[in-house]
Amino acid sequence: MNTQIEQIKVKNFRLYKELHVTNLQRFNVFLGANGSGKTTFFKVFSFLATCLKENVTVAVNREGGFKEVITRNSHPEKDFIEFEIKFRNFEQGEKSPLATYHLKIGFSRGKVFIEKEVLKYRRGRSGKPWHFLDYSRGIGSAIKNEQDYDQEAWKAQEEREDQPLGAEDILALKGLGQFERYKTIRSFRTLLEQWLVSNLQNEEMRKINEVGADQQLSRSGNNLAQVASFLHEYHFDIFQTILTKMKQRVPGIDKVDITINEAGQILLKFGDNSFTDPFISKYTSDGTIKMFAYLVLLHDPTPRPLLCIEEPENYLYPTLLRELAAELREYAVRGGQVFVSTHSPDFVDALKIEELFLVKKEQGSSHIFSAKNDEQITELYENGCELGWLWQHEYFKGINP
Amino acid sequence: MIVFLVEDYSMRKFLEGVLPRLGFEEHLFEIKHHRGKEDLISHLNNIIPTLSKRAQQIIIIIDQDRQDCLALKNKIKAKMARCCSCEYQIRIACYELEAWFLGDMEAIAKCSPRFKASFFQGKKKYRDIDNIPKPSSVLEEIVPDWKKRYASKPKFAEEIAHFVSLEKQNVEKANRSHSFQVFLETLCSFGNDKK
Repeated sequence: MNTQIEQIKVKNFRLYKELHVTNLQRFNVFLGANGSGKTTFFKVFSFLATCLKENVTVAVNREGGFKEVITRNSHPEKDFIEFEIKFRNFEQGEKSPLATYHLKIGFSRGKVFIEKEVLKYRRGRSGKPWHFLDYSRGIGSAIKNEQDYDQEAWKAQEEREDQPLGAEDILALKGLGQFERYKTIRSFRTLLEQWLVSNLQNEEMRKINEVGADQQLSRSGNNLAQVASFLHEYHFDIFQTILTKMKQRVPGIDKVDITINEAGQILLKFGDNSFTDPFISKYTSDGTIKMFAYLVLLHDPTPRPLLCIEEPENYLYPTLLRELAAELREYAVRGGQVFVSTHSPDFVDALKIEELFLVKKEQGSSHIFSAKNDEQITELYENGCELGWLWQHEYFKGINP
Repeated sequence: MIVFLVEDYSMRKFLEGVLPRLGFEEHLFEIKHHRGKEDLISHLNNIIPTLSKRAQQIIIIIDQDRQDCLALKNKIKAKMARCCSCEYQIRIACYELEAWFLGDMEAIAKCSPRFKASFFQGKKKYRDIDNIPKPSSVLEEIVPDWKKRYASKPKFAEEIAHFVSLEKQNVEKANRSHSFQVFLETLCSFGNDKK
């Protein structure tokens, strides 16, 4: 368990005029009608990841430009798009402080710029928070005596150094995060870099690729065979577990083989006990390959700090969703925080009330509420009603289209 | 607030059409439909404690189907007695909701103009509506173009709710289903002081 996002604030980002999500857990599931803003909420994470990997301009352009990204009815040159993430970094010990990363993006004369970027936290209840990073339009400073803060925060004085970034749309997190001496900044950067908004594509997963040494499944799942081969070679026990689960869940499947052909390509083959020759992944069913991919993704020996999955129920048989929910929860407990969106009552039935969040769109603007904040839902849940049942029987107000 | 617990979506659609005609204002009632009778009955223990806290009255409406009417009612009563903290009523459609439609041939004719109400009204089979074993199948048989026009039962329920007779006094114009009349009586009784 490395990091946990506890709160998220978003301003003027597409459907989210003013969003504040609190009480986030290790495993969080988001429920809402089509177009209510589930996908947009996940876009926050991919947007921030792109800001880091590339720069803010690229991230904005990928979403169709600033005027598309900023909430309708906002003023592109007067209003700002803002993100605030409050998280704990448990690498800093059990009682790690609540850290805040704040990013404010503006637009002027055709250019995107960073109005403000701050990474701050304070230890304990008293004392001023230290701004480990404080930048505006490419200019700002970072704390260089971090180690003092760790030891005697109340006595220590922060020492800052100016470090221009050279551009108004580059994250200081990116520029400074590469230096060993900025430990806090560096660890947050690494964290953000490993966020994964998974979007498994059946076609991509079936592609036959060159032999490679990928250890983690990509966004589209196009390196499924390589990752499976990595697990087979270096984590055989995990591979065996996946295989056992496949046999239980997909009728007929009795083995999964990984072979390398003469052209140096890696092939995934699914054995069916009623045929002598196994099927290569190209000819297996959508459900089979999807289930295999989820098992590979969720049995990752080094979980991502944050994993987002949209509608994992697609292509899967409903009764398998309970097990999938359990696996997602296990993944979350092992280390990664998990965010999932769903339309499946069977999946929701498997949840605890604090894991469920409701996405509601009212008058063109979306909000996210914890199901636990609704007294009636909580009472019914405690009386033994399953959450998926309550959802289907319209006890979640304002959710249905 | 009056909470209606009904067994399926058809009954919901029917009530949504009938209640406003009896003067119920939209914010004064709530309908919760279920996935069949068993889904409703088996969840009573879980939902009634919460619902009865804010409801003045809970009305459960289900189909009799092939069960014994009184036994069914007593089974629900026994459950309700343990968990309900407000007034409640149990109304049973004999044998199914569709009996309430067959009880008013004129209303069927208003939904389906090619339907000849007089032809069926005189038949002996339709004298005792509540004793027709499978009224939903009968309805499908006698309504022309059923398959073309009513791909789903709720659609017909929604439509006929606008036309079904709410007459109580005049026997000529009233719905011939006795279970419908009992249902109607219930709605009218406390409608008087709450509407």
